[in-house]
Amino acid sequence: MYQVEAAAGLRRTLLALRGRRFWPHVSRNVVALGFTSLLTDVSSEMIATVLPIYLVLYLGLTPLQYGLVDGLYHGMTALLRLAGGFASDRTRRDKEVAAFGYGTSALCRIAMLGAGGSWPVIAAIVAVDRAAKGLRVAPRDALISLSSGRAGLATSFGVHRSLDSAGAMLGPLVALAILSAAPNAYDLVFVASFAVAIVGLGVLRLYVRSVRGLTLDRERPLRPGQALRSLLATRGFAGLTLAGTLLALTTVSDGFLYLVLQQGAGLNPGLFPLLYVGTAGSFLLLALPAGMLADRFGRRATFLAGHGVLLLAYLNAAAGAESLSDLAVCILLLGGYYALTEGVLMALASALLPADIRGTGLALLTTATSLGRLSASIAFGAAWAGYGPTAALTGFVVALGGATGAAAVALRGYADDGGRHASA
Amino acid sequence: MADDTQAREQRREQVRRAELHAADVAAEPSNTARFLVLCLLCALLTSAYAWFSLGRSADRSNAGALPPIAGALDAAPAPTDAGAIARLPALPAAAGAGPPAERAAEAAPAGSTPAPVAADTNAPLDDAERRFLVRHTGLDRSHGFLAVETDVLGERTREATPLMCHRAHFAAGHGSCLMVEREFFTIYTAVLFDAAFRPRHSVPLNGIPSRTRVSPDGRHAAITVFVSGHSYADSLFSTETSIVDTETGAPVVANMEELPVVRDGQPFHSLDFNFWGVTFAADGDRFFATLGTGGVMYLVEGSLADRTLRVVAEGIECPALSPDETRIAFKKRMPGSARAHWRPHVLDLETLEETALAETRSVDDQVEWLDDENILYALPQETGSPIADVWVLPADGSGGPDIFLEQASSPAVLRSGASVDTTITTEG
Repeated sequence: MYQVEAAAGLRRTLLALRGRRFWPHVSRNVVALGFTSLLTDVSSEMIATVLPIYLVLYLGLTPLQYGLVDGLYHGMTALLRLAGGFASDRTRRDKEVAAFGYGTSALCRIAMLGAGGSWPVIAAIVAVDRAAKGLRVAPRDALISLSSGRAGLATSFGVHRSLDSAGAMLGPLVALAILSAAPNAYDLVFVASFAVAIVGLGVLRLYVRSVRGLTLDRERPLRPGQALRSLLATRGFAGLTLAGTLLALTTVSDGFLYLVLQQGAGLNPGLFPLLYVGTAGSFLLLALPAGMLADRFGRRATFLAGHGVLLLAYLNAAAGAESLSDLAVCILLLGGYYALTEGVLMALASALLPADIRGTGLALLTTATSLGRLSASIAFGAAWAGYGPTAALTGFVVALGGATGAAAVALRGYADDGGRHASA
Repeated sequence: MADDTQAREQRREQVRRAELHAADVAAEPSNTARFLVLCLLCALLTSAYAWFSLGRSADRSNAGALPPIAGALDAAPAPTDAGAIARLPALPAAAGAGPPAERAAEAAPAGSTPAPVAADTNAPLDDAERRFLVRHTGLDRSHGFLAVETDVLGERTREATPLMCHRAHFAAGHGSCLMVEREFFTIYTAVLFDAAFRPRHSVPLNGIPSRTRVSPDGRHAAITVFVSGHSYADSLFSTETSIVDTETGAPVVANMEELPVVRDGQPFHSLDFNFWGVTFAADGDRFFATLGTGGVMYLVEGSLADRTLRVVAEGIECPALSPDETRIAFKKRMPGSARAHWRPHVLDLETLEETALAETRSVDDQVEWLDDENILYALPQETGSPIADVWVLPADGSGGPDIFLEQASSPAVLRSGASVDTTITTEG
């Protein structure tokens, strides 16, 4: 009895603290989804890190011929992302749709073991893995947003993205640790990656609960036509998608930015993974504070400020980051950009979208921004080849500055800012 | 109306948060137990597999090694010296029975300095003696090390050098060794070495080693690597080819994409240019290479002095110029199959006529000419196998393939006729 009372007292204290907005309440669902993503990312990054070396050095394959179908993958991933969002809205089973995506990816890990040296099989496995990744994103983000209170949306996404990037940071390190302990034990990397993915699936299955039933005000799911009309009728969503896409169109892909940095600082190309790990680390540290900041002072302002931070990173790189400390600053800024924008954009959209079309809407938004990024990368590659890295980067700095201004205008009418002072 | 919606929204929000709280507070011991069992099972699976696979690689490290290359090679061994032949066991017995090659096994790729010994390419070679530099692919402790195979009247001996390379080539006292250094991060380096296998220069590489060739006069080395992950789509691979001076280690052509290309008298340029597989003429200036763009492979001819490239023919990959410089051996991608299939061909540079060679297996290698009539290339024993053999095939389309060097890849024929740079002194 005494313990129950003590627990109740503790709970009251916690609630009082929460009332002061000292520490945000984050649903257990969000934390569980975060750990699912963490483990799945560890698993997939383990493979991504070793795959090129495995294919070329270990299997002795010539990979050149197969790059051409890559555009196809990207298109397919975009379509499946939309399909995943729509399926989760239509069936109202976010958890099951997401679990299907996570499960398929886990199977891809163990399938690598059986692929042997067959290129077509490996290419098919990579394609299925990407498709599964596309499928699970929207239901997962819908689950996060539906499990969170409106005022804490950005914080919830911050918690999730922080855990997610912890996985992206740990994955390469785990894989490289296995390979340095047991050289050429690629099969062991695949098995370990599979095991980690299964544990991630276990977290999803055992600790994440469906929340759709709690949030819908319609009895039946919307038909496709109705969903589309509802999406178009959502005030502010079109503007947000436009702003997000415009900004995505002016971002340089990480790979290219790393290449500029690596050439400037004369970093050995073998240390490239360090840059990925560094970015993930900085994202990991900043995602939660950035989310809290967004919920406290306004998501729109945070989102725009994030692009200002990216602008600083580009300026730093364009000015010629020569020393390792310049490089570290750049990586920190890049992680900061992701922290201030990635989850915050989802929170911005979640606050606008009715629960019935949450999955479809989020899928549409992320598809638009990721296609924008892909086009930007192609444009940047062409600009680099034509005018050199510094000129290309300078061009993107100007474009990003313009896009941020335009986005500020497009989002001016964004009413539901989520910030405590927004309605005042 | 708006107020009504807002009120309803707030009520729903309150109900939902209350329910979520209730869900969070409820403890579920059965779930925890299930989760722990799942974790345990996964850990067991991984450790069982680790035990199984590490056990296998332990077998391999007990499998012996090649004898280290010895000072005896300094003097050209007389083919009639029966003692010398008997002292060096012939393959494949060498793989298991040789004395433990302490030096070869210990030699870190760039670290330890080997005892200076010279593969004296200057020594006049008897017709009866042939020597080859190969990458040893047998599954023993010498796996991946460069080795010198000597063939004296059919008696084969193989001795390991202290260099561990993924690809290598050697001519006229200069060698190029593309290394994969497995520290925590994987680092790729080209090491330029001399006749005594001493590293003289090391050049950092931008990607995974693919091809290397040293010009017959030993002055230049060409290096091709696969670059991944820098492109707009992460899984896209491209190639990067450079030519370095073997004396100084300095780049002569830092990236072949910087050279202008001419096709049918017109400038030819595209963003997706990729170059790979360089082969040099005897003068060390003229070279051939593959240019890939828009899914088509072109044979280009270039000159280091003029710094230009000219398209010669189409559909040619990984060229290798014959010693008499009249023909190009290459791999041709055969249409039709889903899986890439390359068949070795020979192109007559005079008539531009192609001859298909009598090999039906897919050959993904840059050919090395044994002499003016035969070519050498490596094939893995089965797809994905780390063990490869070097095969010999007539260059006129007749006959068929034969195993030439067992458990070897990346063959370089050590030619007696090649000029030798006298500035290299080999200290005893």
